[in-house]
Amino acid sequence: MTRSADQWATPPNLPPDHYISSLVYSDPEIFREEQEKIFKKSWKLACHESEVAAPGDYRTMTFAGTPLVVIRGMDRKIRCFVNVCSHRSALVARGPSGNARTLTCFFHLWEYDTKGACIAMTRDLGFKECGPSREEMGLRAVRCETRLGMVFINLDDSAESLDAYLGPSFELIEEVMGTRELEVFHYHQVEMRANWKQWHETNMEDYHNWGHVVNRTTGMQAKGHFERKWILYPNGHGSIDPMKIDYSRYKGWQDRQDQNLPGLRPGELRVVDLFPNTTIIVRATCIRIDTSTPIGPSHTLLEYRGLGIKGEPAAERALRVRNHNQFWGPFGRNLVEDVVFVEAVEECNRDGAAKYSVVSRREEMKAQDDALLRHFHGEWSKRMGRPASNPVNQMAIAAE
Amino acid sequence: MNADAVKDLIYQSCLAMDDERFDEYLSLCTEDYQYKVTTYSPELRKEMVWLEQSRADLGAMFEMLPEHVKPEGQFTRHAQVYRVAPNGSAGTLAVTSALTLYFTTDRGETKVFAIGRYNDVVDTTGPVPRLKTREVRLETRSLGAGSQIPF
Repeated sequence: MTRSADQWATPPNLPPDHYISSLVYSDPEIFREEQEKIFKKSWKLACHESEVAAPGDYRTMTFAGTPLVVIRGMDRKIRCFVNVCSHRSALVARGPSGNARTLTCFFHLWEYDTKGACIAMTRDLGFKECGPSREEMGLRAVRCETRLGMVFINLDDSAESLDAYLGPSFELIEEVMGTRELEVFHYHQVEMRANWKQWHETNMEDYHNWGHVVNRTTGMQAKGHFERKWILYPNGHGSIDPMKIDYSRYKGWQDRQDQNLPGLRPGELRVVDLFPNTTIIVRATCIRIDTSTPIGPSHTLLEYRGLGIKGEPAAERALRVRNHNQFWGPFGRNLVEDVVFVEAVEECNRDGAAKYSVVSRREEMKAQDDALLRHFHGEWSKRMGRPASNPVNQMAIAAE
Repeated sequence: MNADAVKDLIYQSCLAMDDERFDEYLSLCTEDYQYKVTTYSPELRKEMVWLEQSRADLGAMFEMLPEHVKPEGQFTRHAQVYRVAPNGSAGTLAVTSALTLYFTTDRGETKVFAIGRYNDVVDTTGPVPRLKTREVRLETRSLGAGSQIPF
């Protein structure tokens, strides 16, 4: 039976946490509020420690509108600073990466050491009379902590520790990522015309695997696929029971019997989703980490990293890269499809054609239960102070 | 081997792929054909391999393409052969071509999708030249959703 316009706009007859208003994906005001209440207060994956392996190595990025530089100091400690010169606000480090013993602003050549202290002000006699002094002109430090080689930053000086934020979320990947030193061998970005949550939701929703021919022929054929259970952690994080996949079910692919990462059975899959926007997927021989930078309600920068074991022989690396590229990367069989799915959803949310999406699947917390989606939106609602099912009404109440 | 025949090979490979005549494309390749897509990451300061396939791998990939969800539209390859030179081993030539890849959506909108080069090794031992290896060397690293169809 079809529905009238009024019926279409009527909230589903479901518990409020079992559906999501499309406005949370498209409303500019909600987007701006997310920047303040979520992204400026949450731990965010910035890079992997292998990207800043040597003293002086740095990586730059912009997050929540803030240019950042992550740098490994001469003392080997990894730090993060707002990448803005204290003098006239130019970028200090330019380009996506580099190596420098000191960071020198290219505009007026002010110089900072790798601990963020200002160590030189060009022709500093001009500052003698009125100031400021070098001691007052250090870079703005940003909270920065590393877990399992992943470097996280937090723009909130008073945020809880990364360990407290993560809780036990990494229990399934501790051995995989913590036994041998890893390095990033793949990096690419996608500018997606969609809301950041839509991407992350896809990572948290096993049900969407019906749309992937690879998953229909491999993972979904595996014994126990549908019986796996979601594991929900505090702060909106989640994971799912591991499973073993027979990759040779897809034409032209081989099983992943060899070079499995530490602690894994051949072909084993493990997934960890971190609130708000980072996912770690381990497919036996290789790891993908993806994270996003929300740019606008319908504009998201996605970053993908592929990881292998640092220093491994070229032939072993080649197999790992091959396995990675089968699923992921710009030519991967699955990743392209995920972007197409999500952009199609955005097209329907953009101007309000869609009113609600349904996350009501219940299968006793098994794989195709929407439990993690509800958990994610529960955390979102808590941080935003409004339910994802009815955000506009809450806004009106707040305005009063 | 006539340089024009080598150029024709490069252009035929583009036309076959543009038209998604994948069997014809493979017929232009040697049995031991190796294909890869590479680029450099300024973020990692490392070379990257984004796709590496044998002829058999490509065959299987092409066979599965109809099963996949793809961006709606079609690629057009524009190649210009810049150099045909000895490759240092008998019976092969090194061919360097500039590549521009366009994507035209089903709504008729065309955009430049990627630029790069074909770095090919062409086998000239047979009656007609055939592709022995192809490296698609990409300058463009932002490829939107990406592509399940090789370049």
